[in-house]
Amino acid sequence: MRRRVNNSCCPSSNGYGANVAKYVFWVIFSALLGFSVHLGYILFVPSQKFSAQIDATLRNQGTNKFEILDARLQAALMPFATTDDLVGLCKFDLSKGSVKLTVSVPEGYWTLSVYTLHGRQIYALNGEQADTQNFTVTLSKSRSLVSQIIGDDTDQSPTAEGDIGWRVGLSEDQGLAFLWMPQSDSWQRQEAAALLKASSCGLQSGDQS
Amino acid sequence: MRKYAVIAALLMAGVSLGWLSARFMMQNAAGAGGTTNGGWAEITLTNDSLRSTYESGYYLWRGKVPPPNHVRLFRRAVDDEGNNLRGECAIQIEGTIPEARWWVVNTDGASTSGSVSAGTAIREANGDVAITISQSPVPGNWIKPGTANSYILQLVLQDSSASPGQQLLLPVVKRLWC
Repeated sequence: MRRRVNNSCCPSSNGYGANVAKYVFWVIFSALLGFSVHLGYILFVPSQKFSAQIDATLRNQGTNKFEILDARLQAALMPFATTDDLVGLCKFDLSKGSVKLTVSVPEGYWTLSVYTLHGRQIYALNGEQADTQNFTVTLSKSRSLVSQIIGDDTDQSPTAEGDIGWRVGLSEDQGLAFLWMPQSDSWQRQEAAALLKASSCGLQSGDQS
Repeated sequence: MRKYAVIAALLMAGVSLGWLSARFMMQNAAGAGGTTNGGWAEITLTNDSLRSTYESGYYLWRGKVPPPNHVRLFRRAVDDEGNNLRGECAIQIEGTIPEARWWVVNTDGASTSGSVSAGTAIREANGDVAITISQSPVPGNWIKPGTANSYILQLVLQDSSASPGQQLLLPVVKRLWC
C-alpha cells in the first residue's frame, strides 16, 4: 500500500516565511525612510525657515546698506545680545557684484560675523584680530570649481592700495554681516552708535554689472 | 488588502518617527534641561559636527541668528535642585564668572528683559558675582524675568581665555523664594 505523503505543511510554511520576510523588508525600509526624513528635516527645514523669517523680519532694512538695528529687534534676532548692545547690520546681495563693508568702530570690544541667509556662519573678525578702528571687508562670490579649473580670474578685483581690509568669499549670493558691540548701558550705546554711523556697506565701485 | 494597510502603517510610522525625533532632538540640543556642567549645558557651534547641526537648528527654526563660533554659550532651564526656572520665582546666580573678554547673563524666553554684563556687574570683594532674578527689585545685580511662565537662563562668554572644550567652573543657581 502506497503511503500518501502529507505535504500540506510545506507550502503554508513557505508562504508564512515569505510573508515574514516581506514585512521585515518593509520594517527596514520604514526605518531607513524615517532616518532620511530625520536627516532631511535637520539639514534643510530650519535653514529654509530661518531664511523666510529673516526676510520677513528685515523687510524694512535696505539691501547693501549699513544700518544700526533697533535695540528690541537686535535682542529678538540675536538671543545672546542684549538691548544695551549695539548691533550694525548689512544685509548684502552679491548678485550684482562684490560688496564692500567700510567700518569705523569706536574703541572697545566688537566682533564682526558674516552669515549666509541660511544661517551658516562663514566669517568672524574681532577687535583684537583687526587691531584697528577703521577697516574694510570685501564680500565676493566664491569662484566656482569650473572657473577655478579654466582659470577665470574675472572675480579677482584687488583691494585698493594701502587699504586695511579682508576679503571673504561666499558660496551664496545673499547674507547678513553683523557688527556686534556689547555695551554697558543705553547711554553708552548712543555714544557708540554716533561713531558707528560713519560705517557703510555698498557695491564695490567698478564691480557693478 | 490587510497586507497593504500594514505596509502603509509602517511607512507612516517611519516618517512620523523621523520627523518627531528630529524636532525633539533639535528642541533639546540647545540646553533646555541638559546637565553637562553643574546644570549648565554648553552650546558651541563649530559648523562641522552633527551636534552643532541640531544646536544651530534650534535657533534657525525660531528665526534667530545662531551664536557665533567665538562665543561660549551656557544655558539652563532648571536650578541646582532641579526646579524649573519660572517667572514668579526668585533665584540667585552666585559664584565666579570664568575669565572672558566680555560676558553677559540674561534670560531667553518670551517677554524677558534685562541683563547683567561685565560692564554693569557689581562684584564682591573676592571678584565673585551674585545676581538675583526676581519680579520685584532687589539691591545689587538684578534682572527682571519678564512675564513668561518659564525661561532659560543664559551665560554668554565672548572670547573666553579657556581653551575650547575645557570644563569651566560656573556659578551656582539657587531658588530663593516662590
